[in-house]
Amino acid sequence: MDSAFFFYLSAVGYFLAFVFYLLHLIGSPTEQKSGLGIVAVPQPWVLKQTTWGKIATWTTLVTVLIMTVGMVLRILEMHRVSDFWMLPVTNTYETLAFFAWAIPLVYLIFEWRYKMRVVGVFATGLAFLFIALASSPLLSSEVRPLVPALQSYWLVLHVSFTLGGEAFFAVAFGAGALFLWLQRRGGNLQTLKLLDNLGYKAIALGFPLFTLGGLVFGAIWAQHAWGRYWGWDPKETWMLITWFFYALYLHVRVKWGWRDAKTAWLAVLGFAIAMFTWWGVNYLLVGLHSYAG
Amino acid sequence: MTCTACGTVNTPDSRFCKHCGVALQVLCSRCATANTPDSRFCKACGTALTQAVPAPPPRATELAVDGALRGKVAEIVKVLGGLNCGRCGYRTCAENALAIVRGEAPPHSCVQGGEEAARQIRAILGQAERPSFGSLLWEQLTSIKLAIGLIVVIVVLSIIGTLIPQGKDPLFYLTSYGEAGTNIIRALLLDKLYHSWYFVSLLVLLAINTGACAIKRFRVSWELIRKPIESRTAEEIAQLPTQAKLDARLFDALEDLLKRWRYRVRREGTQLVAYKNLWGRLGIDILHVSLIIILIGGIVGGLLGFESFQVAHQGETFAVPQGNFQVRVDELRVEHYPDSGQVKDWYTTLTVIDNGREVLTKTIEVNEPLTYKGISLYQASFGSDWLGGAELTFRVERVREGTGEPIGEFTAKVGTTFPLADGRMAKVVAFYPDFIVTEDRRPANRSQALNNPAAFIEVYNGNQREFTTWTFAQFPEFQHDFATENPYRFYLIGMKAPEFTGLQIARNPGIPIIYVGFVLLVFGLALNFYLPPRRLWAAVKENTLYVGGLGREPREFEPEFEEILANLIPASEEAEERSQHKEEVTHYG
Repeated sequence: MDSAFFFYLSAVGYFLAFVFYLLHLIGSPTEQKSGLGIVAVPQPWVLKQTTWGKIATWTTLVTVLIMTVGMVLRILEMHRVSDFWMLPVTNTYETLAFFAWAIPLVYLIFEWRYKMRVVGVFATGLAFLFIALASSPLLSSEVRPLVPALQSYWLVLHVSFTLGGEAFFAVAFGAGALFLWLQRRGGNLQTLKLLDNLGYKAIALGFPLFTLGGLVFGAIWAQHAWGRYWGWDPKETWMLITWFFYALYLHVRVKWGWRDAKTAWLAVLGFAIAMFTWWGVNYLLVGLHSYAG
Repeated sequence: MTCTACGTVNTPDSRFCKHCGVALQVLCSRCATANTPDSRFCKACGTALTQAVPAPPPRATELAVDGALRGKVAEIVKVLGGLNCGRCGYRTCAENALAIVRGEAPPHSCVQGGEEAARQIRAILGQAERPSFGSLLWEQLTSIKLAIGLIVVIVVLSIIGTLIPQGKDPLFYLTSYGEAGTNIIRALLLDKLYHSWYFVSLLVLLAINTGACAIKRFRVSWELIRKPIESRTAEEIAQLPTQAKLDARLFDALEDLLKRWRYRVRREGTQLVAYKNLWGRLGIDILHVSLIIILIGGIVGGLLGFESFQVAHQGETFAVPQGNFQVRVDELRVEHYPDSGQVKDWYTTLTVIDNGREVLTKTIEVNEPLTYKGISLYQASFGSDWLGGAELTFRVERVREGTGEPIGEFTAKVGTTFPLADGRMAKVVAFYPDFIVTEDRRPANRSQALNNPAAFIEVYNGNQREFTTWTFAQFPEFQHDFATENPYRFYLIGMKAPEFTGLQIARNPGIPIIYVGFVLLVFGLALNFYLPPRRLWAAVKENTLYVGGLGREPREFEPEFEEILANLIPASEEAEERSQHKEEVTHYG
């Protein structure tokens, strides 16, 4: 059994988890307001426990473990072909798998810490999308030898930290999107406040990782590989744009006191920019970073 | 349950009076337990049920101000907002206002209100109608509006720069954007946007803005870290942005909990001060300073450094004038993966010759440069020089009645001739490693890679050119179709070219500065986000425990504060029950 098999399996697992989280989300009792305006729900709705929710958490956990087995196998396969010990972050297929592994992992930490499961729909949904795209016929799962420029541990640090940070941004995206949806449906204030806080925490924790991986390790690798740490290559520039955008998010939140719908929109937009940096630049713009395929 | 409003008797679990609709229960705002309407504290968690905050009595110092000034103090307090965040160095906004009126504190001492508040306060005090140019400039430079505006503009320009390819030759822009488009691009410097004077100016301005903010901020941060934290009275705590009123019996449990949460706790009778991570406040300052250092490193590199590209063949020696030394290329080598045959790495062995002496020999590879006198030579590319000195091997056939009869294999360089059997001569006129036909039907090279090799041959009989022919390595039968009359056929069966190595040569004295900036950047980020500063006060007054706190920014502490309260109540219940089992009780179950 090779890594691709485990990745297939995890695609199924994430899809099931996504369905279970969806059942948890829509199966939870919604807020009711009494005639006199006193909220009759004892706890914020996002903290509700359901059987589907518990099943969803366990499914996600098991799927992440399956993916971890797949990742270890992939590392061994890469070593057999290339003779390098590297994390699977050297082409589009591998980075997709890595991201689909990182998002639910980061999400589970948030679920455990903040005791809310509603964002799970987005975390497992995104993970399913990414691993399904990787497993689709569009991309080859074949392990290919590393081209010279990619044979650097700075590359491993660069990609894994960047994607790790972006996994936090994915959680913030989920919290933001859910916030906007619930606000439209008239969710109660405490529920919205918890989601708002979760989104901010995710960005505040992901931003240092993203800075370290994207800016610092990226620059050091570029210096080693190309002899210049910064060259305004489209990928580099979009990475800086993403970084500036999240810096902007933190400033308007902390300094201007923006929150709720405003910052929720920014979290959604920020993730879209991060995804453009990853995908749009590879397929719509050209540059040195074209290791796609 | 009797309704307090109309006296109607309702069933015990009723929430509202069946007669008049008045609430019979008050739900705790934190744990949602139903309490009777006259309860002051929640019977389950001890949270105060009344929302009204008792107005703090005026302090003695405030009363010492005479009538006219007291009005100004009240006005200034209104401007200051009443967050009581303490970042001005005073415990409350009222104290700060008093100090401002007395001239003990400057009008811009409120960190939260910033320059906007300062302007209003100056107006209230009737002073500084026309602020000095310096203070106006400082006001602009330290404004967050400027920072956000600059970032937005830089981001928009950066996006434009990724849509228009940078640094191409003028012909490229003419063919892609037309004459009018090219004129606009050249006038606005959009073809070298990131190095244009206006883009660099914006970056420098952002750095100055960042630095000014860091200086302004640091003055406050340093005070807060250095000064001991004074205890606060119940009234002062009630005015904090993040605060709660609990049952006074929770006081001991709070002290224990804060100690367990690694707070430093100081108890003074019925008052308590707790704090942690005060140094974390410096994270933002370090982070902002690091960004300036990185930009300085970039400017130093741009002014004092250089980047160049050198193509070299084996045995060749080239000069590096910037370092006043020479480099000899000793060996070129390509390593392939054993199974797939793909390129694994390129190696070039270089010897540095300084002042006629061989000082250093190193084999460089991709990601492994050689550095001498601060100048680094990077293995950037590798290739075969197909356009300058390709050596071709042809199998030649003589055609007799439509069938070819081999007469031998010949090897020749481009531009040379080789003899055929009957005294005729064949000349290799041109070689195209990647042959294409252009729109005006002329042969050309698409690239320097060996994608579609083609050779053009002329055959001479004496001085007379008899015929010409094309031959394609990948399509050997092609000449049968278009050159049926030719007496000879040429098959391109072998190609060799001298290998060359592509070296990026660069010196960047800004690198050490930038790496220092990187270290500070990561350190500052970690300090800021993973060690958020917290200050917390508690005081007991009339059986009520007042708890309040401040984080990095006034409301940033809220979630952690609520978590402390959530953990506090079960902890106290356990203590009361003298339970031996410590169980994590949370909202979850």
